[in-house]
Amino acid sequence: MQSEEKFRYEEHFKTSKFICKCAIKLRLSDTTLASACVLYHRFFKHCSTTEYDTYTVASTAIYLATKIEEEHMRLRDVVNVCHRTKHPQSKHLEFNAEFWDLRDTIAACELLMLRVLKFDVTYIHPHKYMLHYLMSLSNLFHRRVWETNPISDVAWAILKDSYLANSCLDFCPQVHAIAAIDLAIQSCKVEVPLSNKAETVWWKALYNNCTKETLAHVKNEIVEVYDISSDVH
Amino acid sequence: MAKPTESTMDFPFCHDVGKYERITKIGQGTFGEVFKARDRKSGRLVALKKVIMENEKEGFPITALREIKILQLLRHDNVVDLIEICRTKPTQYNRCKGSIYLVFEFCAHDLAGLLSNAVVKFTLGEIKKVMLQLLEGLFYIHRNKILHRDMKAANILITKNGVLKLADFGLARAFSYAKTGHANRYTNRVVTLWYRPPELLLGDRDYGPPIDLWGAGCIMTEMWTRTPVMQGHTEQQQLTLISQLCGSITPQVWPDVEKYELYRKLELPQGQKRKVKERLKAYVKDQYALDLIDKLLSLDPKHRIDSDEALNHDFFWTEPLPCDLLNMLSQHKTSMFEYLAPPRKPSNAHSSGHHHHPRHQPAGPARQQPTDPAYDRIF
Repeated sequence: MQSEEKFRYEEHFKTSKFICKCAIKLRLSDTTLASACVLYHRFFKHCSTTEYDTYTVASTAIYLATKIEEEHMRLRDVVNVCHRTKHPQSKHLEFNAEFWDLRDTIAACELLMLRVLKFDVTYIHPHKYMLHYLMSLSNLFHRRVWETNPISDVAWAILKDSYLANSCLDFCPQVHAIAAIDLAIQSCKVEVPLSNKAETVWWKALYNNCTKETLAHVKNEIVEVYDISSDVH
Repeated sequence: MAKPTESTMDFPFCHDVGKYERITKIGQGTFGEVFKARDRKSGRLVALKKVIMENEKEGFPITALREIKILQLLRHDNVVDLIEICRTKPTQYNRCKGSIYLVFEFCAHDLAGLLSNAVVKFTLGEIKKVMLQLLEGLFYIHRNKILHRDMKAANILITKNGVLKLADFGLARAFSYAKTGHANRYTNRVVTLWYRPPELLLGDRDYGPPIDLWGAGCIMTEMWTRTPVMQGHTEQQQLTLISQLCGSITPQVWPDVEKYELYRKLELPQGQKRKVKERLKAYVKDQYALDLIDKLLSLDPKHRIDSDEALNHDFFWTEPLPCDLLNMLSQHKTSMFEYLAPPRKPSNAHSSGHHHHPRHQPAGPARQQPTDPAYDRIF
């Protein structure tokens, strides 16, 4: 990776992490978090970080995502949580000019974001596919193997982490879910039973349009998030 | 955090509304004014709906966002078509906040406008066509897990070619069936009072598609009565009017009605018989039509007919079969919108006090005064 590109990648990684932290404090669901990350990454596909402050855009993405996913938060709460997360050492925000400026900035940035994204802000997330796939897979495994290996939890965590990089924008939701599950299975060092005897490989049985190449590609992109994360602090 | 400097920027992402030439104001939606306009380049007629944001403290209105998301999802002949979203340039006159416009295909009429014009006459076959399209639209949106939540004649558009379109999704939202033990908590402050079903009036917050079918029943009745059937002033009065038409609200006809707190708190008329067919037969001669209205105006939402069953009702499958509206509409050269129609005048004494339609603005340009006796309210 070129140094400039790497710098930008790390910058977005940091702000995506910031989105995750805020989402946890606001007790947002994982799909709202995913929407916030997608909004953030899509915005910076069109706009440059030299023109827009990444944390303002990130806070706006959280706020807009809560509207999109019908998990509406008051703007006041989003402003407070984002400010606190960005400046953990500083005092709580008072109801002063700074607070109202931050509020207005996010409201203005929200409109900007909607316009940049042409109001096309409905996303189909991999989460619901993952739930169904895990349900189907659990039936293939021996019960004790499934219960002693945290495949579901790991898959869910990997899915969450995959939103830290903008590569997630290019994934098809079904393959995205399968890739996270496959990585989870590998990291638990188990195998899908009867894989060598099956006529159709398990991921193809779950999603017929999934090819070996696309699956490998998505898995690579997800793994790259972890390579970067070890460099970023 | 830096403030985005919008005012100096040129936007490739969202067109300026100036590409459309405004012709006239045609209505007032739930959250904005509606204008008829023409695309300066292609000459195509459109309707522009402005999103009112002046007093928004919470950024872009979530209702507008819902409407946009829902319309982007829905693609059906009987659902209004969203063409694009436009903006105006921020200037010092609008406090550097540009406005947002939704651009729709233009429809020549709305059903309330057509019904308030005595010259417009629907044959039974044409009424069937209107109801058929309305129910097909509802079937489609409900299958896509969307509730309209503002069914009324003024929100039913009809193109000059006679295609019906459900419009104004400003109150619409996605719904899901509640999981056991987790009732939904939607707002019950939806639907124009005269079209509001009894479960909403009793404070239900875990409602579903039946609320739109009650509205369909009211609209279907209006096809004959030409004016809304139950015109209450207050929620209490609306429930009284409903009881007078559909019979008293009791656990006998509506088994779990006692779960509503308001059922015990409100004074509901007792001992009323159901008189839907009896009171409407003076207007509606067709037995199948009466039967379908009766099933749509069922008090208990669980027993109310759904759009699929309604489409299979004999009403649509007996002579005269549904027939195209094109011929009838081609006799009328001007657009008819409720917003542009004159206020309906009471033509006899006992209807005074209930005659006005819930329009948001006084009438626009006057048009010919209705004289047909069908304008009398019936209740």
